[in-house]
Amino acid sequence: MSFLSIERQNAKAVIAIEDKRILLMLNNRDEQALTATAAKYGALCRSVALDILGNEQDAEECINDALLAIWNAIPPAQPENYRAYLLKILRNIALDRYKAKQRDKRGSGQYADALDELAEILPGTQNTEDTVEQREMLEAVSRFLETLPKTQSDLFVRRYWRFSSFEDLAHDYGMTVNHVRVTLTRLRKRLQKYLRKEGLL
Amino acid sequence: MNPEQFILMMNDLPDSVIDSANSPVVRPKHKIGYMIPAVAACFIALIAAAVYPKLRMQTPEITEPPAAIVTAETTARNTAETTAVTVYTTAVSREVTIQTTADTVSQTVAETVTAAEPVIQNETKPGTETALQTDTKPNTEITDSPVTAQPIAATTLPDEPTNEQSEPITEQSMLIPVLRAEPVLTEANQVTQEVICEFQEATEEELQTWGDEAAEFDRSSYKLICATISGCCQDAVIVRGTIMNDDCQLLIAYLKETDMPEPIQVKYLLAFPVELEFQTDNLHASISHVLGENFFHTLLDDDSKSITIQY
Repeated sequence: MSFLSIERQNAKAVIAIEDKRILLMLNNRDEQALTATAAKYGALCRSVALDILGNEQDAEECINDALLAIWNAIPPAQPENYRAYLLKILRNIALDRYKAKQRDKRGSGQYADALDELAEILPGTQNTEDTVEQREMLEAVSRFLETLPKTQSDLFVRRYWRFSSFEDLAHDYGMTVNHVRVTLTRLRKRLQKYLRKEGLL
Repeated sequence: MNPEQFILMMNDLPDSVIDSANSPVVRPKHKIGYMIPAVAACFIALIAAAVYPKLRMQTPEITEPPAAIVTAETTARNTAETTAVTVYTTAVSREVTIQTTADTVSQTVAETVTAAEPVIQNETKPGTETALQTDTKPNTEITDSPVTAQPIAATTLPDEPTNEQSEPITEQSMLIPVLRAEPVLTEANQVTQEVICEFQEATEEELQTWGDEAAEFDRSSYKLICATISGCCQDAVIVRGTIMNDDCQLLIAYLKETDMPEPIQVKYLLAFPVELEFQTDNLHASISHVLGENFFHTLLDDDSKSITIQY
């Protein structure tokens, strides 16, 4: 086992311990938990919010709203993965804020571009209220992502969950912007083919 | 499902997927083990790019000998005690067999000539002296002419065969003025298929062929003999001569007709010093077939207007 992998494992362990400590502080209603969360995940949350909203001020407000939501949700919620739980809350808040902004016609972000890209493989315009169908779709997408190599899976989630820009993805994954575009295009088409095969499109 | 619903649905993806995508990305690092060969390859490519054009422009010091040229020179004296051979070898693209019956040609010569894929067919008689040599710089006076004693691969510039001279055997030579008349087509029935050479004393009518040049000869000092070479060939040239036993053997090289054989006639005017007391009966021709047009033209382009006679 290489030194690098050991170091990465140790880093994950430290994060896990810290997350448990934060959860404990939240359960004890210790406000320092929010400070620790902001210190640890503030940059990540800012990046996610900024990708969706495209505005620094909106991103900051979004993070504050997410921290407040965390304070209110825990307890009773006891998430196993605190970071993922935090990011999901943040994303929902950011998307709600984005939709509100769209109604007011102010600001823009990667969200609109991601919608356009997904419209290529999801041409349906009708709203699906059927929760069963939504759950089947979610499971299919999860299975699809599991079939992908980690880098491609991460790229897809970063683009359509977090709405990262092509430039950021290219920088983070050591690829060219064009390579990122091409990879995502292929992934979308593969997803479309997969969903058709599953009878969901 | 529309894209907006899809995006909202993705919020319920498993935590592991989301966590993985939002983890710090470890960018692939290029291991130095892979870097070294890559850098070395780049250096080699750069050096090659810089050096190759210069090498291309540089004139090589040693070049291949002219194509399709092999000259075998054999010199036999009396009872074949001496054999002198000069072999010009080259990269020959054609396979031509040598036909020589000269008894004086030693085994060494035969081996060398065979290895060099010669392109000259010597039509000689046993005991005669055969020589095919390109004297690009003929001597202007009687000199001791070195003749090679062993086969030597000559290194020459393209299309410019040089006279290989080494390991000299003492011989004397002299220059005989020669005038050439351009070949003319003749009637087929006037000549044979074989190339022949006839000698006769030049008449006044024949001397007009060479005009003023022929008139300049002092008839009291020179005996003018006309050599008429005729046969089915492209062209013919008198290369050199050898005096032996009061006879003069002239080596004549001709370039074979390759396409449509048409009989031609080439005339040469030879000016022998009267003191040699040559008659036409004393003159003999050794006719050789030369393959390789470039080589033949090299012989032909020798504008020294004289041939070397060894004796």
